[in-house]
Amino acid sequence: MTMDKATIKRLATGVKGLDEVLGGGLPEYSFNIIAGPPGCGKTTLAHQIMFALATRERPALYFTVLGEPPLKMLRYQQQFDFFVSEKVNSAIHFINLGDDMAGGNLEKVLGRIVAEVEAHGPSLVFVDSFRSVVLANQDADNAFISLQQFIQQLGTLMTSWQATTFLIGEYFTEKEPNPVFTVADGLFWLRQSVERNSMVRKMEIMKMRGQSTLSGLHTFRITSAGINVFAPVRPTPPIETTSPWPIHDRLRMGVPGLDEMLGGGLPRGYSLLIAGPSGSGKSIMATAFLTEGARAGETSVIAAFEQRASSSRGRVIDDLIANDRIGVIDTRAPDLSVDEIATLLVAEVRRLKASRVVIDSLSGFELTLAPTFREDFRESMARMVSVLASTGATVLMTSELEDRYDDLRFSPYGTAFLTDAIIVQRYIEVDSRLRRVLAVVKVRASTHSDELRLFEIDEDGIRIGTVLLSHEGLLGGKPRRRDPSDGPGAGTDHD
Amino acid sequence: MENAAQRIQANLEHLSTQGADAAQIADAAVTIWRDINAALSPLIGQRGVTALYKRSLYLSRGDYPWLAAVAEGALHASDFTSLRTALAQQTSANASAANGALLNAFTELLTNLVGVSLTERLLLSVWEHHSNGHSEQENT
Repeated sequence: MTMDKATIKRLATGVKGLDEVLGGGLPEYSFNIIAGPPGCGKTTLAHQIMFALATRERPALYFTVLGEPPLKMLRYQQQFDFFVSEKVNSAIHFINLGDDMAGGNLEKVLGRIVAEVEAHGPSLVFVDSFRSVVLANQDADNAFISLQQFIQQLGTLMTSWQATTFLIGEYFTEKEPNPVFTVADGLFWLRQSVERNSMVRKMEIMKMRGQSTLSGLHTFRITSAGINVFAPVRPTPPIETTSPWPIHDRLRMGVPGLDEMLGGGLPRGYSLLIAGPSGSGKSIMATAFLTEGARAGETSVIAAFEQRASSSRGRVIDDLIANDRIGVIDTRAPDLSVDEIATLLVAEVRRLKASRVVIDSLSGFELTLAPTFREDFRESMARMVSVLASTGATVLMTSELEDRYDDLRFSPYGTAFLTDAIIVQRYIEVDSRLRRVLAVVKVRASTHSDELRLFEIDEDGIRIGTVLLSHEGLLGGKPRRRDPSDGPGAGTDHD
Repeated sequence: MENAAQRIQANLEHLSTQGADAAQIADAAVTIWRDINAALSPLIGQRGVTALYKRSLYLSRGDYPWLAAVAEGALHASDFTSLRTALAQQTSANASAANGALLNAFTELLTNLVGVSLTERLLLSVWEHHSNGHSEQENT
C-alpha cells in the first residue's frame, strides 16, 4: 500500500506578481484573511482574484456585510478591466448579509452562509467586510455563539465544502494577537505609507501555511488593469539575446577610439557606469551605444529619467523605438520603486531578447523614486544591477557627477563598486577654454587605457582626441603647462 | 434598442391595450416589483432595494402626484400593497403609464450607479420572466 501525500494545488490568482510573492500561487481550500486600513485595496484584491478564478461550474460567492454599500462596491469595481459583467449571477454571486447581520446573531449569519454555500457549491467564498461581523457581535447582548466559534465553524465548513475562503476586513492591529489569525492559513496585510506628498502601497504575506512566501513588504500599484505586485526581482537564467554571447565577446561602443581605450570594446554582460558633470556628453555616449547595437542587429531597452521638454532622443533612436528595436520603460508613474523599474526592465529585456540596456541617469532615477525608497537606493541598485547582469544583457548607466576638483569621485552613491567598468568625464580649463576629457577608470578583468583623452562633441557625436601631453594636473581642474625639459611622465610640482 | 425597463413593461402595456382593468394592471405591476425585489435584494440587501424603490417613487411623482402617497405607505420594498391600491384606483392606461415611468426611474437609477451592462445582467431574470406573456396568470 502506498502512502500518497495530499497534493496542495496552487491557484493562479490573476494578480500580477502575487503568485510569485505567495511562493507559487494560492493554496486551494485555504482559509485566508485580507487585512489593512480603509482604502488600501483589500476589496480590489479580492475582486481581482475572484474574477480570475470563478467559473460557472465552480462559482464564487461574495458575501457583503454592512460595511461598504454593495451598489457602490459594484459601481467602483466595474471600473477595473478584470470586472466582466457576464460573470455576475453566473460565475459570481453577490450576496448581502446586511439583513441577517442586523440582529447581531452570528448563528443566523452562519446559517445563511451555509444555505447559500449549499445552494451554489462555490469554489471561492469571500466575506467583506469582516470588521462589521466583529462589531455586530460586540453590540449583541445575547450572542448565541462567540466570534471565535463563528470563525472556527466557518473555517471548518469551508474546508469541508472545498472552498478557498477570504475574510476581508480593516480590523485588528497587527501587534495585538487575534484568535482569527490562528485559524487562518493565509494572512495578507496591505498597507499604505505616506511620506511627504508621496503614497506607496505595500503588501506583506504574514503567514501562508504549507509554502514559503517572499518575506517582507512588496510594493504594489493599482491601475485600471487592477493590482500589480512588484516582487523583488531575482536573478533569472540568461535570456537568449539577439546575438550570441561568448563570454569574451566584446560590444562596440559606437564612439571611434573608445573601444580601443576599453581594451577592445565593452565585455558582453558587463555593467558600465559613465560618470560626469552636467552636459559633459553622457547621454550622447549612451545614444551612440544604442545606435551601434542596432547597427549590429541587436535590440535594446532604455529607461530614461531625464526631465526634458521633448521626449525626443534624436531621429535615429526615435525610429528604432517606433520599429520596436528599442524598448522604452515608462518612468512617468509617480512614486516608483527600484523593484518596479527592475521588474519592467527585465520583462522588456525578455520580450525583445535585448542585449543592451541603458539607464539614463541614476541621478534622475533617484529623484523619481518615492522618498521612502531613497534610503535603500544603494541596496536596491545593487540588486537591480545583478539581476540585469543575470539576463546576459550589457548595461550602461549614466550618473551625474558634481564637479569637485579637490576630491576624485566617480559617483555620488558609491555605486562605482557595483559596476564592472567605469568611464569618467570631466571639464578642464585650458588656455581660457572649457575642454572635455575622459578616461577609462576600470574594466574588470581586462587591460584598458589609462590615458586622459580630450574629446569634443559635434553633430556626429563624440570625437575622441589626443592626450594633453603638454599639461598636467588635469583632474584638479587647473592644468599647468608642463615644462618640456621634464619629459613625459616626470611631472613634479614647480610652484 | 429598448432598455430593461421597456422590456419588463412591455407585457403590462400589452395587457392594457387588451382591455384589462386597473386592478389587473395593478396585480401585474406588483408581480414585476416582487420579481425585481427577489432579483436584487440578495445582492444589495432589502434596505438597498427599498432605498432605490422610494427614490424612484419620488422621481416619478412629478407626472403622477398620487405616487407620493405610495412612498409613504411603503415601509419596506417587499410590501407593494400601497402601490397596488394606488394603481387600482387609476384608469387602466394611466396605471400602466405610471408603472412604466416608475420602472424607468428605477432602472435609470440603477444604470447610473452600476452601468448598463450590469443593470441588464442583474435584471435579466425579471425580464425573461415578464417577456413570455405568462405573468398575468401567475398573479396571486
